[in-house]
Amino acid sequence: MNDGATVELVEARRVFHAGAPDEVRALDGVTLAVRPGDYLSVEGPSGSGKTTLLNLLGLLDLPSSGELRWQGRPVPGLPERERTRLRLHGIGFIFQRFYLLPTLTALENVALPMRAAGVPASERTDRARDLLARVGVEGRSAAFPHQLSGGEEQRVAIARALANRPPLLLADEPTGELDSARASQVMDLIEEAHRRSGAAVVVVTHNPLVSRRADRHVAMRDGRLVPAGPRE
Amino acid sequence: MRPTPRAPRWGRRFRDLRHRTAQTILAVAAVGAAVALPVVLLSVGGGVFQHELATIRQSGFEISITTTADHGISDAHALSAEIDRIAGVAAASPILSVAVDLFAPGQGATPVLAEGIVPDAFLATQSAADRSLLPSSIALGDPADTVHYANGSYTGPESRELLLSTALAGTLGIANGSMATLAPTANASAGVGFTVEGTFGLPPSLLGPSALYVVLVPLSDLQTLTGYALGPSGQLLDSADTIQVSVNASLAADPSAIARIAHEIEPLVPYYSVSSQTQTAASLASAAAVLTGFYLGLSSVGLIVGFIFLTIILFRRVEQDRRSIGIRRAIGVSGWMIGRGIAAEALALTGAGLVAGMSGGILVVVLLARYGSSSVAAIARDAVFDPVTLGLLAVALGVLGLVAALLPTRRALALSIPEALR
Amino acid sequence: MRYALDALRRRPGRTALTSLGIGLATALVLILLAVSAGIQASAFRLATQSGVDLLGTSADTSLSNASSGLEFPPVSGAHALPTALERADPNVASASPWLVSSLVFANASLYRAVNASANGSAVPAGWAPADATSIGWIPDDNGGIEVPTILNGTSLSAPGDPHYANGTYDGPRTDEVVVDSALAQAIGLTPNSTVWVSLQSPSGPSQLSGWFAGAVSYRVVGVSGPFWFLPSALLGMFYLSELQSVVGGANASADYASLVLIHLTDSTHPGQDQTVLAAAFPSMTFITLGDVLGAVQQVVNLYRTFGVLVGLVGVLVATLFTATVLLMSVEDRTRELALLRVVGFSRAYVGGQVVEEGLCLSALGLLVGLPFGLAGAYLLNLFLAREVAGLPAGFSFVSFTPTVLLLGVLEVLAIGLVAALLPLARALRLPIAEELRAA
Repeated sequence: MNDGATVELVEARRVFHAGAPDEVRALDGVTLAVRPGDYLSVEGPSGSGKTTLLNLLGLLDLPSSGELRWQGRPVPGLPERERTRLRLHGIGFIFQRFYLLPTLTALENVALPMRAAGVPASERTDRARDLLARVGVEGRSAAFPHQLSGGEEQRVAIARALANRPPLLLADEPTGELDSARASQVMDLIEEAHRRSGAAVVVVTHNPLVSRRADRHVAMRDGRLVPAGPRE
Repeated sequence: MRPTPRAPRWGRRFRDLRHRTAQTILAVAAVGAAVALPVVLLSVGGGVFQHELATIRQSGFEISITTTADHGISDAHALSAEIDRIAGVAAASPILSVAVDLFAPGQGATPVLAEGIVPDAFLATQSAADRSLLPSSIALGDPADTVHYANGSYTGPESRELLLSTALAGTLGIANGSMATLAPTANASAGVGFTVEGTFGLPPSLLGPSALYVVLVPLSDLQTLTGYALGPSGQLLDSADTIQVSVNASLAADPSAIARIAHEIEPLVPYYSVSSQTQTAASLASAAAVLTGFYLGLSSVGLIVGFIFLTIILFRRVEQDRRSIGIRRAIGVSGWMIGRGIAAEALALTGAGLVAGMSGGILVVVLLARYGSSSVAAIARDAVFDPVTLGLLAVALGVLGLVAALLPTRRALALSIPEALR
Repeated sequence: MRYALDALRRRPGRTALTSLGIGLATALVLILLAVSAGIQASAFRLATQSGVDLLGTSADTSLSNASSGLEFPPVSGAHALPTALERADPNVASASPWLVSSLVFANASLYRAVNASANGSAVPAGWAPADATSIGWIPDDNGGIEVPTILNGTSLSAPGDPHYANGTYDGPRTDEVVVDSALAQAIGLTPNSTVWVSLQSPSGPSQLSGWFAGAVSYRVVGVSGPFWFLPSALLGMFYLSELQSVVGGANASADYASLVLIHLTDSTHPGQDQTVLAAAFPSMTFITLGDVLGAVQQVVNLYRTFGVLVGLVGVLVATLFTATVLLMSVEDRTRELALLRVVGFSRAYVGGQVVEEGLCLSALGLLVGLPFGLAGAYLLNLFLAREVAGLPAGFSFVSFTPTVLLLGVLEVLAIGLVAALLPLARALRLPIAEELRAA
C-alpha cells in the first residue's frame, strides 16, 4: 500500500533478546509512513523506542516482524549492499553528538558521502564548499572537529547530511548538546534544508522548541505510537 | 549484617582477562609461541647433549689418545704395550680406521670402513652393552696381534680373518667361513683374501656415522694392506687413529685415579692429545653451552617481540581502565596498589603464555618423536625436559613480564585524576 | 590509505612498538633466508668457477658416504688416467689425478734443535711439527681447473711429473713444495725454506730424531693463498709421484690418487660424459658437478628448513601481536567505522580500512626490519668469516638475492594480511545502530 511514501513501517515490531528472560520489545506494532515533504517530530521519554524507530527508518536495522518499505520496496528482502546504497543516496543522518571524523577537516567530512558515491574530487570539493557556505561555516572549512565549537560541529554535520541531496533527513536529538541559541540556529538550518530541497525530515527530540517546528507530531510510549500532546 | 561477598584478587584478575577474550587469547598465544621455541630447542639440544654424555660415560674406556693428523699415531703396538704397563691400566686398544674396498665372492667393489683392532684389547675397552653386540670371542686368529706384528717387524704370518657388520653381511649375502677380499683400491687383484669369522651388531655410537659398512680386522693386517705398517722407505709407521685405554674396574669410578693415569700417559706422547672421558664430557658440556647460547639467541627475537607485545597490551589496559584508575586514585588507593594490579595482570598473561608455550613445546617434541622423519624423530626421542632449565626460563619470563609492566604503570600513575574522571 | 595512516599517527607509541616487533621478526627471517642463500650461492659460484665438471673416484663411492665421514678408497693407475680418460671421451679437455693425504711438516729450526740433542731435550717447549693436508698433482694436468694463486715465489714449474718417469719412479726428484700462507705462517716458511715431511706423526720430542731420519726434505718454492677446495687451513702441494713416495702407492702397479678432476671442453651435458666414462672405466665412479651441487643443496635445504621453522615462530608471534594491535585499533574506532557505514560506505570499504592499516604496519615493519636484517646479516658474515678458516676470497655466508628480499616482503605482507583477518571480521560485524547510540 505505497501511496508515495519515502519510507514506511507497517505493524513493525523490533524485539531484542527474543525468548530470553531479558527480552525487550523496543518497537511493538508501529505503523508510520514518511512522505516527501513531511516534517515529522517524534517525542517520548528515554527507552520509549524513539531511536529504534529512527534506526529502522534509516535502514540501519530491520524489524523482527511487520513491514519496512523504502519507496514501496520491502527492505528486509534487499541485500546489505543495496541497503548501503539506499542509505548513501537516500538518507542524511544528523546525530546528537555530531560524529564528525576527527582526522578529517570540516570540508573533508562534508565531502565524505560524495566520495563514497563516486563524485569526482573537484566536484565534491566545490559542492562541499557550497554546503559549508549554506550552513554558515565556510570560513572553517580547513578546521578539524576538535577546533570547532559544538554549534559549528553540528552545522558541518548537517552539511554532511545534505551532501548527496537525500530525500530523507533523520535527526536524532540534533540539539541535545547545544545551548538554546545555537539549538535554534541549527533547527533553522534543518528547516531551511527541508524547505529548499523538499526532503522529508524526521526529528527525534525531547525538546518542545524543536518539535514545535514540525508539521506532524507523533509520540512514543513503551514501543508504541501514541497521539502527541497538543502543540503550543 | 552479612559481609559483602568479595571475589578473590586473582579471581578478579582472571575475570578482567576474560572480559577481553580475543585480546587475551591472542596475547597468550603470542607469548606461548615465543616460549615454545626455546622449550623445543633447549629440550632437544639438551637431550642430544645428555645422550652423547651417556655414550661417553658408558663407553667402556676412560682415556683416549688422538692426534689431529689422519692415522697420526705412530708406533701404535709398542705404545699400547707401554701404556698397558702403567699401574691401574686394564687395556690399551689401538684402532686404525681406513676406507677400503671389499669384494664378496662374485661381486664388485663395496667401499667399507675397515677398523684395525687388537681383538683382546678391543673387547676389554668395550662397554657391556657394546660387547653384547659382538661375538663372545673375537680372536680374529691373532687375539693379541703379536703373531704378524712382532716387535716392530711385520714378518709373522697374517691371520687374515675378519668380522662383518650384520647389515653388510646381509646386503652382500656373505656367510661365516666364506672368503671376502679386501683391497686398498677397487682393484681386486691388489687385494688380500680374508676368512669371515663372524658378524657383529652395531650400536650407533660405536664406530662412527658410516656404521653400516664396517669390518673388523687385525690391526697389523690392515696396516700392511693399506701401507700404514711401514713407510715407503721401510721405516716403521705402525699407525693408528686412536688408542682407547680402560682402567681397572676398581678405579673406573674414581676421577682422580683416572686423571693420575692420564698424567702418566702424557709424558709418553707429548705431541698427542690425551683426554679422559671426564675432560671429553667437560668439553662437550662447554660446546653444549655455546649451542644453548645460540638457541637462546634465536629464541630471543620471539621473546623480545612478545615482550613488546605485552607492553602494548598493558598500555592498552591502562587506557581502557582510565576511569576506574581515576576513581581508585580519587578514593585514596595508593600508586603501589595500582602498580601491583598492573604487574599482576602482566604476570597472569605471562603465566598463561608460559603454560601454553611449555605444553605446546612439549607437545611439538612428542609429535616430532612420533611422526618426524627418522633422524628428527631419533633426536626428538632423546629430548630432556630439564626442570631447572624450564624453571629458569619461567623465572626469566616472569621478570620480563614485570619489566613490561613498568612503563604502563608509570603511565597509570601519571594520569590526571580530574581528567580521568571527566 | 589516509584513514589507515591517520589511525597509526594517532597512536605513535603503539605504532612504533608494533613496527619494531614486526621489524625484528622480519629481520630474523631475512637473516635466516640470506644465510642459506649466501652459502648456496657462494658454494655454487665456487663449484662452477672451479672448472671441475666431473669427479672420478673409486667404484661405488657415493656422496652420502663422503658426507658421513667415510674417505674414498684411492684409485690406482693414476698417471695413466688423464690420457686414458681423454681417449675414452674426446670431450674431456683435461683430467687431473689428485692424491690427498694428511702429512706432518717440520721446519729447519726444529731440525737444528733436534740435532742439538739426541733425545730431543734441546727442543724448546711448544715446538712441534704441524699436521697439514697435502695434495699431490701433476701441474700440467690442471688445465682449466682452478688452483690456488701463488702469493710469493713460484708454482711447481717442471713439466709433467719428472720423478714418475713412465712408472719407474726413477726420474729426478724436484723436492719442490708449495705451501699455503696459513701453513707458511704456522711454521715460519718462506720461498727457499727447507721443510721436512712425513706420513708419520711423532709422539714427542724424543721421537723427533728418528722422525727426521725417516722424513723427506723439500724446498718451498712458493706460498699460495687459501684454497677452498679442501676444507683445511694448512695445505702443502707436491708433484703426484713425490707425494706418493711419501704416503705409499709409488709403484707402477699401485700409483694411487684419491680422485680425478675432469674439465670438459663442452660442459653443457656432463651427464653424457659421465655415462661414457662410467662405461669405459667400470672400476671408477664418476660424479657430476650437478651431483655435488645437489648434495650441497641438500645440506642447505636442511639448514633452511630449520631456519624457516625458527623464523616462523617469530612471524607467528609478530602476526598475533599485529592482530591484537589492529583489534585495538578497530575497538578505538568503532564509532568512526560505524559512521562510515551509516554515511553509505560499503562493508568492503570499511574492511579495506582495516586491511590497509595492517599493510601500513607491515610496510613500517619492513622499513624497520630491512636495516636490522642487513646489519645483522653483515655482522653475522663478519663473525663467521673470522671463525671459519681457509675461506676463498669473496666467499660470503649471506646473500640478499632478489628471491630473499621478495620472500622477506611477502612474509611481512603476510603478517599484515593474516593479522587483519580477525579485526576485519570484528569491523564487518559492527552493530552500526548500537555503536552510534549516544552514550
